[in-house]
Amino acid sequence: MEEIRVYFSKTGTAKYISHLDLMRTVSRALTRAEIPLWYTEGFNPHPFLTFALPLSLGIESYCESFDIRIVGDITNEEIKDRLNSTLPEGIVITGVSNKFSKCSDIAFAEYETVFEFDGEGISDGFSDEIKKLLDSDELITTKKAKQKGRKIDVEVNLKDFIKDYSLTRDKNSITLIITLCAGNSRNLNPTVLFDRLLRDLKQKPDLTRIKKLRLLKDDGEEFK
Amino acid sequence: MNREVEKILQYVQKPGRYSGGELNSVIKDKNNVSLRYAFCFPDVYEIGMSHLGIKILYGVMNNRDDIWCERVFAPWVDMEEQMRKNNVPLFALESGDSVKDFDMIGFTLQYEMCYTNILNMLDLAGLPLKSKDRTSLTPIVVAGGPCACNPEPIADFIDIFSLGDGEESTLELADLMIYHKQKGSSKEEFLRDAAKLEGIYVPAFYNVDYKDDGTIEKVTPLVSEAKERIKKRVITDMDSLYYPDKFVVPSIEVVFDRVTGELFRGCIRGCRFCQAGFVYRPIREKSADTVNEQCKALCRSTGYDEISLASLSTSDYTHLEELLPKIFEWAIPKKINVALPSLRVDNFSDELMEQIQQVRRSGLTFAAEAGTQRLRDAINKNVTEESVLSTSVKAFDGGWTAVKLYFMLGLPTETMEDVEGIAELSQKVVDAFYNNPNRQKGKSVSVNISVASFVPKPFTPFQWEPQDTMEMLKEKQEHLKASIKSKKITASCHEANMSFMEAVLARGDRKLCALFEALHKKGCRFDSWDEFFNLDTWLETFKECGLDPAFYANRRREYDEILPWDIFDFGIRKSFLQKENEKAKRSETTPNCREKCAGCGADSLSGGKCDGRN
Repeated sequence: MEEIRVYFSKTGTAKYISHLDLMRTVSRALTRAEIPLWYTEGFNPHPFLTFALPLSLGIESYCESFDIRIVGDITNEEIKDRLNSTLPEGIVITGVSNKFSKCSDIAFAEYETVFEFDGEGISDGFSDEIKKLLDSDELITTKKAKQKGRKIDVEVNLKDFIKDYSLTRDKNSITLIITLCAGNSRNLNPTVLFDRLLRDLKQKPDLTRIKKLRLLKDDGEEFK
Repeated sequence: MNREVEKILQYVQKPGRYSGGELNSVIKDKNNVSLRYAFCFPDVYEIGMSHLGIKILYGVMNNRDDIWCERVFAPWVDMEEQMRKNNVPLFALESGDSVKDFDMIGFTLQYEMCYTNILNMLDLAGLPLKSKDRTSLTPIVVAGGPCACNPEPIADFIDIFSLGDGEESTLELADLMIYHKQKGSSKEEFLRDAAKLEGIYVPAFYNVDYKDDGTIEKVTPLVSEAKERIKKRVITDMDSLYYPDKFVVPSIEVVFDRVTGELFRGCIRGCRFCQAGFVYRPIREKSADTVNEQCKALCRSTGYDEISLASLSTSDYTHLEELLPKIFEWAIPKKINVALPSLRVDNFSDELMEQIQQVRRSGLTFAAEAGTQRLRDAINKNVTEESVLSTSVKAFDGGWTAVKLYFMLGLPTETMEDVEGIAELSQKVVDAFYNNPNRQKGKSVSVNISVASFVPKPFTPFQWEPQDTMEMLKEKQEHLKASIKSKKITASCHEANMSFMEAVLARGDRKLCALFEALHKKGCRFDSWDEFFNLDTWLETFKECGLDPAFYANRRREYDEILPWDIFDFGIRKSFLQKENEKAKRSETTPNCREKCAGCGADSLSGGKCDGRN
């Protein structure tokens, strides 16, 4: 038995597959591809399958991965090819590796977000406002949380989750490259940040496209 | 994906319902096909994607290089709001193209309460609702499925109804359309040719006259091509019949997310309330090898870990004991579960029980339908209390602790004694658990009873019967709940309101088209969903249209009355149904088709062949 990591991108219509549905989708693809998987030995045996980090609905990604355990003779190249021939549109295996870091090493995620505007383009104020908000000391939003089973609202300073960012402006779009805390202990869903950023702005983008580009470790190395 | 659609998907729940891109969905070059077909399911994605018929016809059509069939589902209310606000018309999932531009639009009619969704979908597509207002050759709106056996309540909106098995007639209609498109024909020319095909009903070619009392005086064909009676289509050779080797695998979870193997069509039982038991006759089985190969291919192409063997009454499949070991041989090593829905209690053998236990255990459900033997005899549900109890004991022996029982209230000849019988039978199942020394120790039993309201349906022996009024049904529900003494029994009763409307629509006539037009104007849709159905709106609309729901639901029809569905030949003779109705009044049973042929007449559709009799 050998544990391997399978890297994939999830783009196009596949961005509408939720994390729970993605687990089902991948599990069925593994079955169709007849990958010799190791099954758990409990009462209800199921293949060992874990994902590095859940991806929120509506976000495209080029840095996803899952781990499986293999019990037969099969090359990494073959796993990649077999899976790619049977995955739904938008999910593409980009690599398979036997050496990889622990999932708990994930510290940051880098996102590219494009705010697209139809029609007359962007008002001058829009990118300045975004900049101002991102540069301020506090960017407070309320998050729903559970405390002893009760639902409560918690105030969060989103600034604590932002590592760095850069902003470029085009005629009909603004591109924001932003690095946010990610991982199992400290994680910020970028849609929470953008909802807050856009909350008080007069002009709203017609379409917001978010792409997850890279996962980073604490030391700034890319997580693989 | 279409940018306008992508924009609105930012604001809706479960965008995966509308994005397409699922595994095994079929993409073709629209410039290289002769016909584009939009297969519409008038309910939300998760329900439509669970339906076997759409998978079969999707495959049948896409098997042909010159036809591209795509899927369309009713957008959920949040999506509809966004679509209307942003002028996004109804689109098909595969291409994202507007449904309006398709050559044919096919609706499947699975339940009456979805009719308001059909009108809403036509409207969202930007099409006129009425057939006569859609004047060009394309798109032609077709509808089929079980409710097409009395399609009169929506006759004004649909161009063509297709009766019976759709595998052949769908392609015949498609070919005819390809021919007329090339010829540049008018819509009427196409419809006249279509009316000549077997199983095809063009409602615009018939005129209905009514008597002063509202019943039908006569139905007159208006053109020479329109037949006096339209015979439903029946495919006799089930083994050579097309069955898909691929299902579209939804990327989001749907209701029935698994492989479906079809065992047979039709039913030998003849339960007098059951429309499916009559309209799908004669019974036609697939061989065990065919079913096995079909399931195997589907598991390979989908990666599903569950197979459901579907039919109206699974344990009546004569090759079941041959089939199960064949499937288990490859399914068990692959950890694929086999589910057998619709098992009957009376022929649920020990061997079968053992075989089911080889795979994961699911719930145990018995459809007893009525509480007393007298009433079960009257409805010809040939299940005895003894068999319910002995099977329960077997199940308890096997470690089951939960049993689900299905019943109906408001069946013809029912008395309060029969209602109490439901509580008594459920109690006996509870007692059977505690009297069983082999029961699972330390566990309690739970008996869940699910109680529906009886809806009289066309082509059944009860097609002439009045439905109980809502007041009577509610009284019976209260009486039942009061009769239940044990906390181990949980009863859930279906809303009688919706059953009342179902009874109107099931046996309705063309006058109801005005009702649907008015309901649509009021914004009604998703009426099969409790959260959207509003009886008051419906009743108010009846009044405004000058229609009386009781005329359709609560009126006893005379045997000689002309019924709206009399122009359809479903094989079953009216005299047979009448005889069965009389037997019901005497609580007299009719043996199942394998014991003794009852002479229903359905074999006239298949050249005298019937698997119930072999």
